[in-house]
Amino acid sequence: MKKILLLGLTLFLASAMAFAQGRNVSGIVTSAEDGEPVPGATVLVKGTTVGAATDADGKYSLSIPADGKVLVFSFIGTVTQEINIGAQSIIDVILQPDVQSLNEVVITGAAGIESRRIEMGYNASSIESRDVAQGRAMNVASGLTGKVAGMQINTTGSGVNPNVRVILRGSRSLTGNNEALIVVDNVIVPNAILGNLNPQDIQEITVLNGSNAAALYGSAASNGALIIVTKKGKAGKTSVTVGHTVNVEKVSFYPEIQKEFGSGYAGGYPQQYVPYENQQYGPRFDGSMVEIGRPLEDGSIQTVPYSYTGAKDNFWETGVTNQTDVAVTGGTEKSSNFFSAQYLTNDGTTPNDKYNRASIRFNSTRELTDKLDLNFSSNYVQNRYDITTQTAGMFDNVLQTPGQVPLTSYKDWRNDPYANPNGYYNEYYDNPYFAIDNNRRESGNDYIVGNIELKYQPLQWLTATYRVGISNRYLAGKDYTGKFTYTDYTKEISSAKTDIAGGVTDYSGFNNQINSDLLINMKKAVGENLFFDLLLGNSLRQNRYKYVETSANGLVIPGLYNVSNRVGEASVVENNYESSQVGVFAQLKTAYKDFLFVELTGRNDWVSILAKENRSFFYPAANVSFVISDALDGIKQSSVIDQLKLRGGISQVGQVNLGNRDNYGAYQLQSTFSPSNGFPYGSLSGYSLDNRLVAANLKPEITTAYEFGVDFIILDNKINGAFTFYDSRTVDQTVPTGVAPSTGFTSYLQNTGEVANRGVETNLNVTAYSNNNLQINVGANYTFNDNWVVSISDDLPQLQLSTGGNAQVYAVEGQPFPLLQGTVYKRDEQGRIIVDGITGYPSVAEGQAVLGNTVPKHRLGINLEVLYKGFRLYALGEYRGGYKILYDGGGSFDFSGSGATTGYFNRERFVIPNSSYEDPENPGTYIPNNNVTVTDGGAGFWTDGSFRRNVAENYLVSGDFWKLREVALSYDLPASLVSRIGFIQGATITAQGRNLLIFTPKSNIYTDPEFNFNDGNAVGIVTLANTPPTRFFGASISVTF
Amino acid sequence: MKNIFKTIALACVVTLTSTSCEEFLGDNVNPNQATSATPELVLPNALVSTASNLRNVNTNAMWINGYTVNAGGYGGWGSVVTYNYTTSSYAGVWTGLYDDLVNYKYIETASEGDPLLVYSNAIAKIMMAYDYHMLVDVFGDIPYTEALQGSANVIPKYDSQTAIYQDLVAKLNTAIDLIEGGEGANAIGAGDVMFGGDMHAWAQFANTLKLRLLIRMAEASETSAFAASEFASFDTDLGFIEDDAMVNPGYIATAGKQNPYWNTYHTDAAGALAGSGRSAIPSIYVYSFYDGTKILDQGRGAATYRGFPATTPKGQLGNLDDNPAALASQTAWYVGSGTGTSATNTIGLLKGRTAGVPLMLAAEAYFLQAEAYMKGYLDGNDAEAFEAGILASYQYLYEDINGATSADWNPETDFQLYLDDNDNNYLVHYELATSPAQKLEAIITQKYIAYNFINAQETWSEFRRTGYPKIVNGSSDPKATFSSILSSSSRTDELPVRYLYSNIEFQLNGANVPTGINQFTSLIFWQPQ
Repeated sequence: MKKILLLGLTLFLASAMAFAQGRNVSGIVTSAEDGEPVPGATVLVKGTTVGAATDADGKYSLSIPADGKVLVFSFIGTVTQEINIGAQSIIDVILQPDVQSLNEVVITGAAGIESRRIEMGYNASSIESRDVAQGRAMNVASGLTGKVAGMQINTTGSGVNPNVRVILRGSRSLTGNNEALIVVDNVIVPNAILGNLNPQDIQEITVLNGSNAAALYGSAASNGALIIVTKKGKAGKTSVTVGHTVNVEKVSFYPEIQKEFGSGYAGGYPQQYVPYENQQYGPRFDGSMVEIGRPLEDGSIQTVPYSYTGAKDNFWETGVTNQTDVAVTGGTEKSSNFFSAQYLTNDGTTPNDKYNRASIRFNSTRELTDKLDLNFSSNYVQNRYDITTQTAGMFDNVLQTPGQVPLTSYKDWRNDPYANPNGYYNEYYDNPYFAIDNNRRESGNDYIVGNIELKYQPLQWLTATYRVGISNRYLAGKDYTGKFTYTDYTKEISSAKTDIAGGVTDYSGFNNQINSDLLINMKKAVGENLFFDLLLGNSLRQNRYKYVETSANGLVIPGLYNVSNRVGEASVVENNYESSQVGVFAQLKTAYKDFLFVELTGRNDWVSILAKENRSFFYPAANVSFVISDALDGIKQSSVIDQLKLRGGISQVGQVNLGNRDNYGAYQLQSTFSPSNGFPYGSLSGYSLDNRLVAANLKPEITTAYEFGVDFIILDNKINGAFTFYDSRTVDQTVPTGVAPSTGFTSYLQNTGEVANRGVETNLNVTAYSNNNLQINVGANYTFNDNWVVSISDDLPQLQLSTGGNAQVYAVEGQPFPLLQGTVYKRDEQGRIIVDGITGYPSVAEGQAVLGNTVPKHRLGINLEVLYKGFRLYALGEYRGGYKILYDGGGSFDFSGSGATTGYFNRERFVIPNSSYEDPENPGTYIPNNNVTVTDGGAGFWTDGSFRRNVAENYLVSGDFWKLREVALSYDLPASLVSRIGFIQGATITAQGRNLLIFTPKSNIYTDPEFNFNDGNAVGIVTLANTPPTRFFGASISVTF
Repeated sequence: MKNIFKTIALACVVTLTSTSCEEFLGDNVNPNQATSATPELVLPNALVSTASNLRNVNTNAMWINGYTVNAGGYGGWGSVVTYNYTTSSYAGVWTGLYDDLVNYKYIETASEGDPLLVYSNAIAKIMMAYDYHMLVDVFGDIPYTEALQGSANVIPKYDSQTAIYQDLVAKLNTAIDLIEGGEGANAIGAGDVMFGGDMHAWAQFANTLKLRLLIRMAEASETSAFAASEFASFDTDLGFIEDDAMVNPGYIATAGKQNPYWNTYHTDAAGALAGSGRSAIPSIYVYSFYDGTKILDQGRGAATYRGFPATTPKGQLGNLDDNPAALASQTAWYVGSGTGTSATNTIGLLKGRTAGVPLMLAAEAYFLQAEAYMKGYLDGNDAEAFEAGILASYQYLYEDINGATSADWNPETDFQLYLDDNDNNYLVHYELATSPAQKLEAIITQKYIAYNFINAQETWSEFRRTGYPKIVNGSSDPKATFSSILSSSSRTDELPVRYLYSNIEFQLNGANVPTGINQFTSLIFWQPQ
């Protein structure tokens, strides 16, 4: 915001102040707007010339003359404050922004162009460094969750460094990328960078919610953008900040498990105890001693009490994150440097899952001459994973563990004969600890992201900027499965146990992006009232990706995980992709009297991935901002309204949706042939048609969007808010639609269909209470988004976005998007489940029924901030509601008999609730069922596919939740205290927590509905690969030298 | 254009000249995958795919027609033992066969009218008939005339099964004509992984396949006239296959490149036991044709089953309590020595990792002829064909992995032993069958034995058409019937008669897929009851 202004003044004022004497008062001056210290603020003893300026850290120290009674704090752009000194020796002050300066608030927008907020004809939110970093989230995206209206951030799992998906204003593309464009230091970067940026490096993030705001980015802009600016060095004394954070991670939501019944398999009625069984359809726990498993070769057998141990919940471990930060900042009038380093280690809740990340940043600015500036930013990030590849299998193994089994005692499977696969009690499912250890991934990424910028201003009205940015990701990893040979004895007595041949897959590759941007900016006033600002630009982007993978299927020597140590031939994969894009753009901003602003944008893109005749397209946009509070005298004079702005805009952008972040959509236009079925066999080659069809003449998807809204600031800047209505239509969806296998293919890439989004984004921030020592701020943001499919094509009323399982994510004409459809029970006209009049069992209806939309329609974020002296308390709660998800792991809960559902009827015969059966006398009419019980209320019902497990509606749950996302309590140690230790300038202690509480409706007994089985558009299905949701809490300390 | 400096330089000129812009954007040529392929390159892949599909089709049908039952120690059988099928039950059959068919369609289209590619064209037509009739036999009406057209028709309509069968016969006639008039065409050579380019063998294969179809059509009311006229013009001079039609591209002991039966039932390339070979064991019903209960077959019994006649684990479908587990580290259908990667090549069904896959046995050709002769569709000696069929079955089972007869296994001797061991049994001694019904029972029962573990769908179809091999409806005696004791079937034989349409078709071609189909009542056209 006002950083540049602040920097310039600091040195100037510091030297101008008079010396003072008498008793000492010291303190720190911070800005109410961003909580940052204010350097260069003036502190004067009223009625004297005695005063001081705050230093680079906002601190001052002043000797008060005997007659000094009042201190006057002033700074440009803020309201001057007077404070009675009284007996105080420490006076900290929070300066409120001056209403008049509101017009000067600047936001970094598209292409790095800074615009004053009042000029903006679209919704944009700016988030300060502190708000991103305060919860000590591991990645930037998590730190933004719930804070911005219109932005939905989902953490798609609970493993170490989970994927994060950032969506603005719903999904526009059925199958293409819907994630917000990420721009770091004015250079477009791949989305993966977001999960790897050090949150402590962030200066400011601007969220450009819609394509109007981002239109300058052309084909990349349809999803809105996150403009991230990293920290620059501050002029003045070099300071060093060192911080350390410890966070603990614990499961916050255990799936509901039945605790009544132990081992016994499907088919036995009444239930019989089976010592080696995975299914839990045996007799009720009675506390007696029972054997588990089969005898070991030496005849010994494990005996345990037949009662519930709770081991299934205790299986999940306590995760720990340790994070150490160092930042060095300094500079002069003509240059600045910022250096930071972070090292983070993370142990997950899945046993033995580990992750670490090291990052280094160096940013620098140089004023080479009066007219030429050179800036650069560079960032290296290294992350390393050591995790299991069998997350879902491990979770299933846990579920397939009967309640009396002391699961957590089986960690040492190498030495403990009962934990070793040879002696493990479970005939059919692995020891999860063995599954974890025997199936590993050791992988890592190395990112180098940086850019160099030259700014040349030959004339007052003319600026030319040239930037080159690179972002490079090098990835390498190895997945392996250990070889395990069972003893002959085990194979003899346990026919289901078979040797594990082992295997290893080794892979590496890189993903490289180069950007070049040239901007020419001309500003000219015409007369007193008109001001023109013309921007011309050229942008080039080139992406390259390479990936090579070699696999060995079957190892010879156990423990040697190298592809040369294999049985048979190795299999190899090689992928190369390259794409380029050229854009030219122009933006003309016209200002009339500083209250009416019109912005016109046009951009033409040429992309390499489309056919020559289709690869050029033009995107126009127009935005208007009208500051009523400056235009109309009546409002200008109002004591209630400080600022009132109306805004609106319309834009059209296109996105070429042909591929993913790795292949960029290159080479997708032609059908392909590949060797399959084991080919080649020696010298004999064979190719088969691949399963995808491609329509001729594919075009980009075009999003036409409009938005209008109002921004207001009232009651002496105590309340501010914004309201935005938007509507977008995206036509010519590029869709690899599923097609019936009888076409000979399974997918068909074509331009078809239209997707609509309509919604509102609102936020309101209230300074509820404010005096010198205490300030309470309350904020809320609310988003309503209606996302639906207008049409797909004449031939295809729906298309499928996911495969496998009993319900899938679809796009269906006229229905919300994305939509879950799946199998349901046959029901009569009154909606009762039709059961067989004799067996009592229900049956599955033919076809796929609509189960519900999978993305929240309503989202509400509420935050509270309390500032008291050096204390700051921040809390954020988030609600999402109005959607459904499918818990695809539910089948395992029922199959195993672990699930709480399987115990609802005590394993007794029961009447299916709300059911009916056909009247044998009058076929087609149905009698309410009060007495026909299911033939088997135990395994016969719960494990059965037709009656239970293959019926998707059984695992459909409401996605609604309330989460306490973030609580952070920080305390800045008083300057007076830390200054006693000479070299320390400041210290902050924070206690923080993330996702501390989650509240879900009763129907959701399974998991966090925020999760998803992948990070693509097929949102709405959670599987066993998503381990139970967790909460984080811990503490941080940060010291500045 | 790969380095940053050139990129910088380009920034300055790109807006000035469109040629550098074009150059910067590049040509978007796929460096990863082929975007075209010749029919000769597609054919071997398609044939190997057919062999894999047959393995899948066979595996599914083996549960239904009594070749396999659930082994002890495995649960979660669901519709396999209840026949309570859902639309997802056999989706893989549907998807796999159409995926195979589109490659034949590609070959057919790419070679159509090209005098040099006549043989490719003919083979494509024959194999389309082979795949399509398998689909009809378990699904009835299916997309045919509008199928396999890619983007030209993404919601193909369903055609009548009888019309499809008739067109398949026409396709086979065309293919035979093409081969017979194909002088001057390019030889297929190594790419023909079934007959090694022997086009006469292909014509005989087509003729045999045609016989299979016509026999099925002969007694169905809608198709009997068509079949009669086709029989009247049948080219018997061309003859039928006399050797087994085997696909072998050169299977090797590498993941994804093994004989598919071995891979599914024995061990993977790394030597890990295959689950299907552990979770399935032979039925007591089928075993009764070997162990003397109904027929004593010392030779083929020992070539087919591990531990024959005493220790082979065997059970009854749907018996979740008492069925025995598979033999330790072995599957019931492997008779060689050694385990894992040390398993030796042998004779019988699972001969080894590199064995070929029979798409059709010569035995079937003989049994088809026997039926055609017996019923008077064609002229010939049914008794001779019957015996030739049994002998051919012995010959296939006694062959080693390379197709050679092993010194320890003499088919002629053991066939004679078979005749001697069962001297009062008309199922073995055709001359003892006194009625057409008994003769047909003998023929179909022997086909059932010859195709044990090899092609269950074919013999399931024959069972549905003829009611043989005989079962006792409603019996719970595992020797008397192969139906599941947990059957939910409404039929007197307690069996299903077909599969349900794949849920994928309901999802993506919902307007065309027939509804109201029931796996117990919706008969295939050639099924009498």
